[in-house]
Amino acid sequence: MAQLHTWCGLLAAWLLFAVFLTGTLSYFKESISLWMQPELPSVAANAEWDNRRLADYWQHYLAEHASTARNWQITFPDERMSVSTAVWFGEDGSEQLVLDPTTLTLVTPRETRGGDFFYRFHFQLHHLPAVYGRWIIGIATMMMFVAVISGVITHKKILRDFFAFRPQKGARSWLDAHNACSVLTLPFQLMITYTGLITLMSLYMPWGLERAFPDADARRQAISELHAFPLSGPATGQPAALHALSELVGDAESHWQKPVQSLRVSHPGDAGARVAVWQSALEALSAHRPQRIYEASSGALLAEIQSQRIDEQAHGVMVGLHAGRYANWGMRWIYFSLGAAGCGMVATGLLLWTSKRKYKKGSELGMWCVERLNIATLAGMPIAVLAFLASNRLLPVALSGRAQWEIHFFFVAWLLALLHAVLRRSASQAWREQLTLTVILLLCLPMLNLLAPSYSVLGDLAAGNWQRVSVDLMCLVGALIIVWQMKRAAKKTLSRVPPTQVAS
Amino acid sequence: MLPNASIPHYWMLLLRIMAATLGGYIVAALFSVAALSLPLDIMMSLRIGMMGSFIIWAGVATWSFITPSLIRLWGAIGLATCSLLLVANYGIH
Repeated sequence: MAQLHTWCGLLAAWLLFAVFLTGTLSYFKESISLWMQPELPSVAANAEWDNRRLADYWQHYLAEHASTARNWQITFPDERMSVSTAVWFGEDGSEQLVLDPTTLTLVTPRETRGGDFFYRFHFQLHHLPAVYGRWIIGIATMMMFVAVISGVITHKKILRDFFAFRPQKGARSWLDAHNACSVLTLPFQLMITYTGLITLMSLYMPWGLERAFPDADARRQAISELHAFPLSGPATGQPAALHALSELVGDAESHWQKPVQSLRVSHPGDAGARVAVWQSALEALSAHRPQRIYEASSGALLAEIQSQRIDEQAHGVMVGLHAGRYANWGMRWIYFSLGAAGCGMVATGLLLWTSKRKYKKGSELGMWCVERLNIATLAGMPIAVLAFLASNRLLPVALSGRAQWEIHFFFVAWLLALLHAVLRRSASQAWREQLTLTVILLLCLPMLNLLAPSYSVLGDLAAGNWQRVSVDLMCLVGALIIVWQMKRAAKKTLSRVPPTQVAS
Repeated sequence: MLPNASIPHYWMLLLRIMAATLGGYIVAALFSVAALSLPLDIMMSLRIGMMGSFIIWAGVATWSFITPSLIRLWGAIGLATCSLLLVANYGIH
């Protein structure tokens, strides 16, 4: 059982650390996107806008500029995202526009994937077809699930061990730190692993669906019902005028007594057009949010979709718990800390593996591989994230293919970290250098932000807009934590050098 | 954990790994199909099958490394596969 925990954990750990890190950052993906797009207005605490006016604006704009698109997708601002966006799929691919809701003017922010890059990466990686990425992460998640379960079984003295922290004792201390990270947050780690599998279950376990709905069209319908995401329906080919979207938004908002989050017009200008309106995700635990579907030509309500049965709600709540879109700021920070503890659990687990085997006989090659991969992941991954953020400030704003260049920075930085970890003769030297680089990057990022033309840090602070400033502040906090840990580690190695060696 | 742990029984370990991965997935997948026979709404049975299957898989994977007897392990996986296949093919719904 202990071996299952060790090997299952070890083999999946490097990928899991990357998933945990980017997943944890995704809880603030809107804030990271705002930080990466200084051109966007901050979310002012007292900002007011009218979703009906926004819908009206988009309807006029899109009817003029995107009348041939298959779909219009409109999102409304909320307390996390200060702007309204419209996305449509025209003849030459996907296009997006951003609207400032208070002034009703279009803004053109710099091109970037923003926090969405981390969000996508954490469940489907990058540079791989999405399905492969999702399967790879699914397998790692399943290994994590097994590692957590076997970890609990291994840990018979779970309570006694929890209160025994033995610092400065090498492998013992890593074990205690590993236990503290995992035991304290165990319910969260179990929840996040299991619900992660649930979010993509129709990919991982499609057999029930295929058996119950052998017909492909019926299956598509069932999948749409399973995930509470309505299909667009077919176009008729008959032209028809579009009902005022502002009225539909107003109808939905007065019915729910809650703001709408987004709407989708499928086949605009066609008689078969439908408008689907989604309720705001805030303070609704279930990810399957209530929707109202209207006939676009007449504005008649066709369907009201709301999870009712216990299985629908259980499913929606599991996905909702994973994504945490319901969470207010306080809850979001709790999610962030628990996710960080998850990173800590994986990281200390890896360090425990090496420190336990360091002075024992065993496969030198295995030890070498694990140690170097540890460096390239535990230090290299944060370096890659920071390189991605730094490139956002360093690359020229007007550079074409800018979003892709930022992603190149991410992967090249990661690759260089791996090369450095492999080529450096001494592992502890490699550790020290990469962690130092991480600290330098963490300190430089807020500086860069002050120097490069970006949002006004002082202005945001004065107005009490914490979203972007928090990104800078978290960099400084991260730098402090790493410096503190490096100091401790340095003291420990110094005191552990045998006296004879010092004499010679 | 393994019988005669002092001798490296790589093939025995391999059989356990196979049971945990392949065996676990087959039993879990068949469970998700067999659940369709539950006398419930089709979407409800579907969700129960899909959401339960990961717990079944994790259970089989963990148990593959607990049980001392490989014969019992593969016997149980075979038995579960056969009975789930029966339910999946001749279930009520």
